[in-house]
Amino acid sequence: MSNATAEYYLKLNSNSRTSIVESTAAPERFGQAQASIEELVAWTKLRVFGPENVAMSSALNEAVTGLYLVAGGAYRPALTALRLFLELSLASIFFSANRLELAEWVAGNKDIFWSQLVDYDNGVLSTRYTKAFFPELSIEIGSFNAKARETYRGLSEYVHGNKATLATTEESLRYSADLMTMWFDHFHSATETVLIALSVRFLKELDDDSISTIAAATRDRIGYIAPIREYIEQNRGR
Amino acid sequence: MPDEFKFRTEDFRPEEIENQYVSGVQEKEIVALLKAPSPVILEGSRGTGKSFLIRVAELQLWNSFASDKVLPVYLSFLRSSLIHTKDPDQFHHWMLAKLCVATLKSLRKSGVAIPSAYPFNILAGGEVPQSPDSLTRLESLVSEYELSYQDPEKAIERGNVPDVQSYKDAVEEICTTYGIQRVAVFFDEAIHIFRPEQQRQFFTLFRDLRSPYVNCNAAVYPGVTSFGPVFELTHDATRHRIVRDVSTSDYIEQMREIALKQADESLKENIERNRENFSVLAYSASGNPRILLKTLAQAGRLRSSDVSEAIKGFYRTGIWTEHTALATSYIGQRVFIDWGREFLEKTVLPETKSKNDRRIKEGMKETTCTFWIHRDAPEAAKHGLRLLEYTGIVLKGDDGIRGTRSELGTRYTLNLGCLLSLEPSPASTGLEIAKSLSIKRFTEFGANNSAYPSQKDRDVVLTEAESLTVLKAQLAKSISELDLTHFQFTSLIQAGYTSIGLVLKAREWELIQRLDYVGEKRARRIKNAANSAVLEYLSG
Repeated sequence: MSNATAEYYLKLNSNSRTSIVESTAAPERFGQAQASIEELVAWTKLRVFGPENVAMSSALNEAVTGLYLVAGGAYRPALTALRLFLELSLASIFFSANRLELAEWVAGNKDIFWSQLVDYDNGVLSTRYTKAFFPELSIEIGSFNAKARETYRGLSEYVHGNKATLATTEESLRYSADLMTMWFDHFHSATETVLIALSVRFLKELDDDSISTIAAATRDRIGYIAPIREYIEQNRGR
Repeated sequence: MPDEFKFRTEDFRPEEIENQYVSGVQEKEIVALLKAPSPVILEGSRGTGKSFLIRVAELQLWNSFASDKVLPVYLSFLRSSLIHTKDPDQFHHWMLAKLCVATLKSLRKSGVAIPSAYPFNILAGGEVPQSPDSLTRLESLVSEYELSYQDPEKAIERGNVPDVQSYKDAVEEICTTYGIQRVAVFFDEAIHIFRPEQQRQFFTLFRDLRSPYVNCNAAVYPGVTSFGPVFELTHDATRHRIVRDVSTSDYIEQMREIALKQADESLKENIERNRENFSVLAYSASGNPRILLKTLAQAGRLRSSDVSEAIKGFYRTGIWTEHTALATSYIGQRVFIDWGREFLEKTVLPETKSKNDRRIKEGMKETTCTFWIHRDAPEAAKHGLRLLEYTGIVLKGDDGIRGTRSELGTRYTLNLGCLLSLEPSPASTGLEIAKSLSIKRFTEFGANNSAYPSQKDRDVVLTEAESLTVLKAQLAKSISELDLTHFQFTSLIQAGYTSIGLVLKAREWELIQRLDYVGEKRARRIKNAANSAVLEYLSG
């Protein structure tokens, strides 16, 4: 007795498998993204990272899920996962200075609002936050905040589907070089934003050994921001 | 004027490098050489663009990895001067450990290796293949080696660090398994200019690494000359010097392109409107992009008076401040650094200028910015000139050039800006001097010129031990040298932390335990102050 339901989903699965093979024929993009995720994981293992890690763990899981979906040609879900990654990772940083909100979030009594995370006055990329944790960046932080908002807005367009962002043909599980490039561009911006936010919040609280752990990767990626590069170079262990 | 020029390669985002790249004939040739299988030693003064071209080569190899399968591995030995030890193997192992970590990182980025730990194991239900423990062990050894300078006596367990052959075997295995043609290693900031022993060890490693699957390239400063017993420059690598010759026809155009890459609209306009003034700045920079950008930043709207002031300000003072600052960091070199400045400022520059003045007055078209040093000149003088090369104040030309009476010697070119800065108005007379340069004319300094270092100064010999002494002197200094509050200072003194070295060696928790009212934050600030005091003296 045939089971059409099973056949249908196995067909989708087979389409995804074909897409995975095509997407990873040149695996460098995935390799670089995987390396970026590992770099963020290294931050979460540092001693300064406390209970807020619960949100960061979910965030990193979403990043890997996003990679899996993008390999399989499921671009819209992959973009949704990426937006959740961005939201949850900034939330974890927000929680590190707002334990009450963390407890309420864990208990399910409070939601995360993106607008709160990137609020110009009190968010994790605000002047107030930066003045408290990494004052040398308090003037530049506005441009990083704007970049984070832009990335989020770009992702939201796909998540809400409120714009003709994807053609019907692009909704099928099929490899598309253009959509894959678009996803990795968003991934690049999102991970860079998270790395900047992590540096602003935690860099000055790290001991020498911790700085050594994250130094090379952080410097390679956001070393163009002179105050961050210089702080790492002066303090990365003896 | 843009808010701020970016003077260093590190100031660019990795993805900006390609757009900033000005691919002149020489640049293309160097990038092609760096990407090719034969090893290259890329030599250039500070700011000539070594790091930038290495990054371009690395980027291009990544872009073509899918088709060419050449894996770029980039690493910088910026902190090598921190490695001080009596154990001759230690620096060697430190380099190898760093190389292994960098190789692993590139392999991960290429996608041939996949991380096995969290969060990659979650979706896979824990079934991701484990990576070999030896690689993780290597990562931790790097920091152990970096720590080792504090206590050179401490023996380090290095049984797990593979020797060169093991590294080569591993790379070969990985290459054949994954269809990778070869690994192209780029050593940026390869070796410390004042550590001859490390230079020897580095070049030995450089040579030993050579295999069909590994090729090495390194960026070095001109003063690096200790190649060690095994490495032969002509056989084991191609040496390429970054020299942008001011007399080539496209020189100005190329320098303009470099400037325009970072210029905003108003600066672009000023450059177009004041082409000749820009040319004087470009000639003055003597082919050094960083110097061009620095002087451009000081030259306001590029009117003649702006350019003249910028040239006088930078080449009479700024460039020398940078050179003299080396003496603060490298006490043992002070005598050579000071001599070099004196020799140029009091002898070479005035003599060259008066020669040019005379020629121009007599209507002769050939000017000079070149001088010649007899091959038997004292080593101390040659060493002083090497240090001037490091800062980019002189450029060493060919050896074996005949002077008067057919004597042999070496030709050096002066930084043109230093010469033009002596003009009353460089913007108005600079162009004539720059365009009439002839290398056939030079000022000669024989084997026993009275301007050479005195006998006493010549006897100063820098050894590895002395370089360690430099560090020890810094560690022995009182904590009053540190940027501390009065409270932090008195607390430290009371608890017996009197020297920078003692604070540096103390762990943070010790400070928290032993000092009243000192918690994590204050302990950190105290440690930061000690760290930056030492690094300032070492990272030059």
